[in-house]
Amino acid sequence: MSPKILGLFGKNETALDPVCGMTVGVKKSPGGTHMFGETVYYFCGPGCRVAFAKEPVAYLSGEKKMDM
Amino acid sequence: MTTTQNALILPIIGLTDDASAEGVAQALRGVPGVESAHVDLVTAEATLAVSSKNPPTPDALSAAVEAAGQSVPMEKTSITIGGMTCAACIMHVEHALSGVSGVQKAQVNLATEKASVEFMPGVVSLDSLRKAVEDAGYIMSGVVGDGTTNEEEIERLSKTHEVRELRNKLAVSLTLGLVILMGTLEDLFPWMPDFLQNHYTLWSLATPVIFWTGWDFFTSGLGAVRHRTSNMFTLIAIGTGTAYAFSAAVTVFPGFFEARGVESAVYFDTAAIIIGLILLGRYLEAKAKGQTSEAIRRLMGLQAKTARVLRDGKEEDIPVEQVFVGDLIVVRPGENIPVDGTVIDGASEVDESMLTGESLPVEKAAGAHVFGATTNRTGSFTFRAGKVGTDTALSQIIRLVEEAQSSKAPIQKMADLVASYFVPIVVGVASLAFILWFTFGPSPSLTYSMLTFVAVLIIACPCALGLATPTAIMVGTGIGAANGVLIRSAEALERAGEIQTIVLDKTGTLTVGKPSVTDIIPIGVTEAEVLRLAASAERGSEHALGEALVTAAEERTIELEQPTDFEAISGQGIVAKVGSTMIAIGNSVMMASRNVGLGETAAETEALATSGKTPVYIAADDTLIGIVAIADTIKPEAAEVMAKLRAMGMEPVMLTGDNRKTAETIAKQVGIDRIVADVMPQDKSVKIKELQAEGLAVAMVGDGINDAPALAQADIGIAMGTGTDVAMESAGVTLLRGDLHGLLTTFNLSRATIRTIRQNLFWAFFYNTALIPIAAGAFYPVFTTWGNGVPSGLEFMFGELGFLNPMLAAGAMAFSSVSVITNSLRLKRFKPGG
Repeated sequence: MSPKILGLFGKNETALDPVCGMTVGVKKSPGGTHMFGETVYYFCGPGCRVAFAKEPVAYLSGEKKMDM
Repeated sequence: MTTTQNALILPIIGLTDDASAEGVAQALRGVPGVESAHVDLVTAEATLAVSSKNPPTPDALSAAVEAAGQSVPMEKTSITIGGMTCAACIMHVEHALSGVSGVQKAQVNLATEKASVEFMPGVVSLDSLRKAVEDAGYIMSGVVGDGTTNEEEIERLSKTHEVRELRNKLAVSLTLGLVILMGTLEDLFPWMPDFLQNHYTLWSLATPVIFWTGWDFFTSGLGAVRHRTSNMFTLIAIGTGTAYAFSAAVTVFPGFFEARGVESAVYFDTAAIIIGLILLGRYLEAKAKGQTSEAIRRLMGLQAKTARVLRDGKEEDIPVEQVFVGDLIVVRPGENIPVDGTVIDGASEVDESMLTGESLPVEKAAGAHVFGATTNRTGSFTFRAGKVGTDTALSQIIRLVEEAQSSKAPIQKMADLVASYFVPIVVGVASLAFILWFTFGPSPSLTYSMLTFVAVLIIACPCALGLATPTAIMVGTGIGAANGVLIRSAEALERAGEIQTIVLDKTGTLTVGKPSVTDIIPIGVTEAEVLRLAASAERGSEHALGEALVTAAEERTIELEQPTDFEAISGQGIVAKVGSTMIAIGNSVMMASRNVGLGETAAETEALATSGKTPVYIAADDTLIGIVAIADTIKPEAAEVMAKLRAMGMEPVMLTGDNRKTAETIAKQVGIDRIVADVMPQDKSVKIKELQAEGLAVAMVGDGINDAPALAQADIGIAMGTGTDVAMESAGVTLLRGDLHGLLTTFNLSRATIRTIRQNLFWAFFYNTALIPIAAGAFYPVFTTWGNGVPSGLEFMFGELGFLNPMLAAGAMAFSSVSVITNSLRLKRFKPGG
């Protein structure tokens, strides 16, 4: 089921991985979470979390955009 | 982890002489952070002492080496990366890996979860890569293994699966074929139950044989037809297909054939048995392939599962897949050596018989190369891992053997070509027989014409032709491997038989490639005393010259002392204290710097130099006590092998970078007339080309990296040595033992194999072609029309009317296959060097 349908049940919220742009489930974030400022960010894998933790501003501002 | 606290070892390529080595050393000394640097010409390595506080950057080191005109070779390895979830991960991992000091390039493949890393050996450790990967949030499970410990790999190599499948098909087709046969031949097997003689039963039994066990032949044969060509499977498909379809028609419409006055006969047995026999050939082939891999399989079994790696001064057992280039590995007595590398400490004897076939254990001391899967015997030692994973000698050998077995010899291509002409001709003959019998034959003409058509197609099936080349090549390469000769391709095996000129590199090929003491000229003391003092002083030395002295002393069972205050002076020699005597060993420069008078020795040293020897002065407390001559020695078997090569019709030619005078001395001793001297390493391949331009088929025998282009240029390249060299990659043949007798084995084996292939081709064609006229019914008029029927003694062959019995045709075919296989197996009696 797509995250959207799951969302209808109000159980599985999703968020965007700020590093790679993938949609991630919030409840069991595969890459863990990272708190920056007041916001909690969710990640597809630990790799993205580590990358984000190093340079959060760069990823949030879009300066560090992955060419994929 | 790669080296002790502040020592660093860098491999250097491009070194040619002492001057270039010194140049590199000087350049390295100029790099910030390098405290001292020494470059050894023999091991082609730079040993650096570096500051532990601010170590030099790898880039600075490699730039310095390049500025001196040489280069640091980059190693490449593959590591597995876990935890990559998205496309961005590729960049994260690549960044992390390239950020490791000494890594030049890192490339990640998300799909295979592997990263390919190019790095400077000696500087980068597996741990530093692992740390970088883990810090980036991923998992590194180790170096991508060479699969030598992998059960699947072993199974794939030994063709277990293929053999098993063929065996099952073979069992089914032959069992059913025999049952069908007995059911069909009612007269011979009257006791067979009625239901098995029923044509419908026979049909149902034959069906799985054709459509399951023989299906591959049909797809392969029809595939060829679709490409407007034909192969032996085309013929099998046509032959058995015809027999099957004809018999099915007879079963369903017996009346149609009976109405014409002939008893309805079915040929399900023929179809089934033919497929069974061909499967037998293929089964034997697959099995033989598996058996040739047996030696490899045994080698794989010897591969150590774990390695004892020295990390932070502590020994640690880790899986062999995680060993990395540069790791220090400790090997105790009786253990198998896990990977390839260079001994840095300790000494032992190593049993390398599984790799080289050499039964005597090989002595290993500092500087010696050791190879994975060989067995350590007496001592224990520490070595630095040089090659891991797919780069090890073992893996290379496995790959070479595999390549050789799957490559097609040109003569095999010829067999296929002949087959492609043979098939349409046979179909034409069969059709002609059909038409002739149908038009002019006696009644019932359709049955007669069908019978001859089927018989021709069946008898002509060149299934032995398909076996002729592969069986001989397989036995040939297998025998080669058993005798320490690795033949990389079937083509090399074939070409070796045509060689007229054999070019041999001097150093390392005709000679041992390792200096030894040839003359000792004592001055004022005994010969033994000179050797005792010199060898004792050199005891701690890793230099080839020192080794030569120590070996010479050991040969004369002279007891040596432990030197103190050992000091190597680059470009000059060494100084050490033996007992209370200060010993200096070196060239004239060293003697001059220590004010040692050389007296009246000029004439003697001159004489030594002209005969290709290197004079070394030995001084005790700054007084000259002797001169020792060091030279590369000729391999003991060289002269004998050259004479035999000549007797076989090949002319040996010596190729060397030495001056003509030195070259001539050695050439005379081994019995070579033609010398190409003063050749720069890069010109070796040009010289081969020149010989080829004379219209000669040239073999090149060499051992070094610099021989590689020449090995590739030659009609066949033969690499000497332990089989770890780049040379091996460029050569078609590798002599594992480094023994020149291997040359005789190679050429004799090649000739024997080609001879066997020719015989095989002859037998395969002979049987099939000879029986075609009989199958076509050409003897019918002889016996029946003009004669009084078939003589009773020949009825077993021609039946009552002068036809070939289709059943006997199948038997004859089996006989041709068996004789081809037997002929190939005769090669097993091959005696190397004989």
